[in-house]
Amino acid sequence: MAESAPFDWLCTELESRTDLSLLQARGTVRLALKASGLDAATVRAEELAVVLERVLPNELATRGVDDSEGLTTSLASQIRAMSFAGEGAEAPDRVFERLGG
Amino acid sequence: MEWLAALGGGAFVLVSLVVGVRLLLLARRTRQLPEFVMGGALLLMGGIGYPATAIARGGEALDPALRGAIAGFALACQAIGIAGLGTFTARVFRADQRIATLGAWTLGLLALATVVTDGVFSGFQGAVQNVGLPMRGNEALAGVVLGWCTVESFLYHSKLKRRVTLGLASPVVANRIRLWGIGSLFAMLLNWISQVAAWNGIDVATSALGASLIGVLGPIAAGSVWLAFFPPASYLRRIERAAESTHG
Repeated sequence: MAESAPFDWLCTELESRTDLSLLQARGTVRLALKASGLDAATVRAEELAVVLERVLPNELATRGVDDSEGLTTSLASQIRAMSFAGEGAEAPDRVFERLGG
Repeated sequence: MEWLAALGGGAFVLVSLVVGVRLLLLARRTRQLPEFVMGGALLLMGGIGYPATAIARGGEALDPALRGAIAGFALACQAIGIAGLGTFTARVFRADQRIATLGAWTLGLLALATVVTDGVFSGFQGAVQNVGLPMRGNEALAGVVLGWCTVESFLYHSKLKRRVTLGLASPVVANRIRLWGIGSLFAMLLNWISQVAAWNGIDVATSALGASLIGVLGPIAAGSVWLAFFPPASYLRRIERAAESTHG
């Protein structure tokens, strides 16, 4: 299954702005997503921004990335300002939100 | 014991009718598939098919051809409901997986095949007497689709719990998905018990043990679906307060 565009963007950014390889960056982000109940195929930019602020600082720090807080804060504001084409299928929680409305 | 079964079955019918119609009205407004297929499935399986089956099986004074027609209609409602629930589950939880859509269509087509087979070979007297392979097949397919609903709901709820802690998901919606899972689970248990009993020549609806089980499991399934789609404001406040106290 293909990963979402925001996921690909974030991993490429982490590769270029840290010492992590693309493979390491993707693995780190995947672990953070799993801990947050999200997955790489459907994650949206807004969700990734929250993961960047709340989960990834620790994950990156344990992998020896300097100033992980500053980096993730900057990436979170960048990703929030971006627009990604094709957000994919409607998430189940959105459907259930509507069903109760 | 019959009053207990009537109470359990009645609660299930009432909730299926009300929630089914409400979701179909929502679908008319939104033009979205999930509410249309789920509303249709609830209405046809629980709201119309279940009481029609009871009338056909219990109406010994009715003309056999009429009983057959009612039973056939109920069986068709069940088959369309199976297709609807399968489509809902595939479309909502596995939207990007073609195999899930294929699975839903297969379940629906097999269910329709049981209707045609029972009609052709017994004039729906199999459905009236609750005997024969098409009946067992139809019930088994309903058990499979309810099991699928249960598993997908609980799997997604376990992911959503983690998102709630990050503020990425609503605790009310997470609870709604869990309640849908619980409702599906208890409907599935009733279905499986009914299947095991039928294979042993017992009609759950008319046996004392079956009546007690319907009386206990039916209201739990109905109550969960009701709370999921018609939650009282006090219940919602309780869910939100619980989430706030847990996650701050």
